[in-house]
Amino acid sequence: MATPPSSGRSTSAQQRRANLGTALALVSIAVVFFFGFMVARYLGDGETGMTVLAIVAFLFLGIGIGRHLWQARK
Amino acid sequence: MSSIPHDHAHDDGHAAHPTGLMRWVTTTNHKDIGTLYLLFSLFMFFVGGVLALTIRTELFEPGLQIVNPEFFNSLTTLHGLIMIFGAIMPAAVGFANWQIPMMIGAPDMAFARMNNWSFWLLPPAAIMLIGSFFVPGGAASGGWTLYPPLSVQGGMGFDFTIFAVHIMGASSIMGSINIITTILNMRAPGMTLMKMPMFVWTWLITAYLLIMVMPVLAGAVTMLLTDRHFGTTFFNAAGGGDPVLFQHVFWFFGHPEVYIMILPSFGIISEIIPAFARKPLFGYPSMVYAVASIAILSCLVWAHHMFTVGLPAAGLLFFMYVTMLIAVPTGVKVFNWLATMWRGSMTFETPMLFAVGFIFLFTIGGFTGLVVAIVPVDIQLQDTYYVVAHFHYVLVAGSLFAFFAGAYYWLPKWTGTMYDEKLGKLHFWCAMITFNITFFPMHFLGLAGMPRRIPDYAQQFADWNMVASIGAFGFGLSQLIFVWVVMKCIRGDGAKAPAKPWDGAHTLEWTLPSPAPYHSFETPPVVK
Amino acid sequence: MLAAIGSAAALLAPAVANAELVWNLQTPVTPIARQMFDLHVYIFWVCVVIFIGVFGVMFYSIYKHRKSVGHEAAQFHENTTVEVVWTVIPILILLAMAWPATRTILAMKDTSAPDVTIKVTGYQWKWGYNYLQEGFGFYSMLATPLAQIENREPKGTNYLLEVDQPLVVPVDQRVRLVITADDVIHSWWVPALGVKQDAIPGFVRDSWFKAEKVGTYRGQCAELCGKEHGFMPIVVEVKTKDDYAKWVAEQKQKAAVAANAAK
Repeated sequence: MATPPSSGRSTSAQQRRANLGTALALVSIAVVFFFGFMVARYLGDGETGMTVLAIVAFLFLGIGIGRHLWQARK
Repeated sequence: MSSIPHDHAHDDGHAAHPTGLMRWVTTTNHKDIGTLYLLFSLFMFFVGGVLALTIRTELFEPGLQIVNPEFFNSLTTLHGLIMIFGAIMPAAVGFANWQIPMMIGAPDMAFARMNNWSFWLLPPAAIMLIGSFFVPGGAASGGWTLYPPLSVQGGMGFDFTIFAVHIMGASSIMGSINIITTILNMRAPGMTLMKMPMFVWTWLITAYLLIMVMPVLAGAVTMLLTDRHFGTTFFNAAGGGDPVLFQHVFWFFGHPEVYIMILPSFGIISEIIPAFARKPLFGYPSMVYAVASIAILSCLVWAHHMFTVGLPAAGLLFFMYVTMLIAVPTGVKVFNWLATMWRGSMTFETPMLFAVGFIFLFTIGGFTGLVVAIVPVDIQLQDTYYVVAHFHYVLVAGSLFAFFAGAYYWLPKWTGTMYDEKLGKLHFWCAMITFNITFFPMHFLGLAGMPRRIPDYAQQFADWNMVASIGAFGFGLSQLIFVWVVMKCIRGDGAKAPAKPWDGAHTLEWTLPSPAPYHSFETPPVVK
Repeated sequence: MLAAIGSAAALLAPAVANAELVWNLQTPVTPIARQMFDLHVYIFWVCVVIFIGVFGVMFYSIYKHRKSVGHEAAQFHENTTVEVVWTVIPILILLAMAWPATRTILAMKDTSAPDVTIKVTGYQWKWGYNYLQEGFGFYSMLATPLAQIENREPKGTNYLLEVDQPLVVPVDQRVRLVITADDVIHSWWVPALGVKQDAIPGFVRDSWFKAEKVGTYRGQCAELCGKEHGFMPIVVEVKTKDDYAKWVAEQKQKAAVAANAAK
């Protein structure tokens, strides 16, 4: 995925920003999955809920991988 | 560990280390935190072990002898929860904390302070779990799976368990975020993803699984909590809910969880086999793809834990086929390990013994897994001792043996002292033999029709239960040898470890002196 | 695996006192249970063969490719051909396992055209049986005395597997069970009949069996349902058609008497 930065890594602000970005993306996955099933329950029966959730999950993956590929190309 | 020098000269920023207890409470060093995780999990392993031995004592012969049925159910429930969330998972995170930064040439984890917090959430959660034995109504007694409506009926112990699961879940999620971020952003220059050691790869994928499924578990137990106290009816048919929904949600977490516990073990074994065969890992790319496909498939097979709830035929078929498919990448991993050993130049120090023991017993667990994947056979075996035997073969002889292998492999690096080879080998043979005496007979019990989670059983199950109980005490006692070995290393009682005690090891941590300095790779190494 | 069996068996020798050892699934008495039995035997032997093959190779390697016998390490680390081979062969083996399993699943799930329909209800901690066409029902509870459980009396032959009133069904007839529960999830399981179906409160699930042999078959609740989960056995008595008809007549009469008494 992201190419590792070259040097002076542990303290650089750039490194910290990158770390924070990754962490936020991961937190958002966690949040979606935490509320997903509860929301799904109110959307209708279990199957609709799961389908919605599965689509969200795959969109997430798609966007995540796509973004990395896009950045890697630059 | 006292032998780690913590008065390192290049301590810019946080030069004044607190000493004594405060050092451990305030530490943000990945090595200290790794040590804390590992010692915590060792402690919880013995707590869970005592519960298991109480269970085995009760089951030594038919009739009720030492515990009443309600307490027996609490024992099985807490044994499961403590071993999974208190012993196996923290041990895996402990390995990750120690090894990942050293293996990828990073100075520390990406979020050092959050790392401290992830660990220090665990002791309160453990206290809540163990403490729940002493609240009115006793500890949770609905099985570690916490199926409603039984878990809605239970007493205060269930609330303790639910909150403990929340806390441990938060800890795991933070730990995983830290691990993924470290791996993605902090590798040494030149270390591309496909050059990473297998252990790092397995943990990267494990951490993704954790981030996806731990929130699902947290959501499920939250719904349980609101059902218990706030009048919602997620899982109550009388209010339009569905008790089986909980099982779907729980196992959507629960099955990937199984792989969360085994993938880091795969990683450890994939480091050890090449080191002791003195030969590079066979089929590295296919190993990576195998782990990734196991992880993806693991999210699609949850309902194979529910073949008896009455799924429609199409559901049964789908989940059976996908479950059987997991045997393919798992088989690839086993074959690759064998091919790594093939025509190597092997020696059998303790880590290698445990690694070979792992492959041998894990494969038996894999075969029984295939047997229970077949729906018609599973109808007979679901919720019997066969299942108990199956998952102890993959979790004890799988995860646990791999962690022992990893501990022996890296103890010289962690403590600077070689472990006692004689004691290590004794530990391996005792563990190997007593493990099989304990769990192999459980296959027969399950086939013959003994349900799991019962405090008393019919006469025809008496003989094998007695054998299993005898084995269990042997297995429990053999673990004391391990504690003795670890204590000796920590006290520095043994030969001084060279920087690279194993000829065949090639990962970055072996370029550091032993014990690994408190701060390592402050200037990144360059990987060619 | 065989070594493990051997060592366990050797250790056991002094402990073999009361009964013969149990090794395998119970003797099946329905077509579905027999298919399950055969399927298990088939898969077991396939696994044993693979096991011996794979670990034969591993132990050969452990024996021959050791440093202590002076074996030099080769340095190969990939071979596309073998990697493809050991991916494809397992898939073929799995297909060979999935095919018969699929047929059994379809047969197992086909609950149509029953001769007798019985509603089974799980309670904490007993089973309720209602004969829907005949219009009577009863509860079935553990009959083992507490003194035996608490070790104050010697245990009987059917310790924990005996009930006050067994479920009675006719031989050679399709019996459909509609299964539900009153409080928590239970699971109705009789190994010899090849039926295990969770009983879920608020929902009705069904299953079926056709017993081919007269006799008494025993099972237990298979889903943790609280403190007496281990003490709610299931006993099914399979009777000849005539005996069954006689039994039904008796039960109907009893039900009528009870109904009159209640008036």
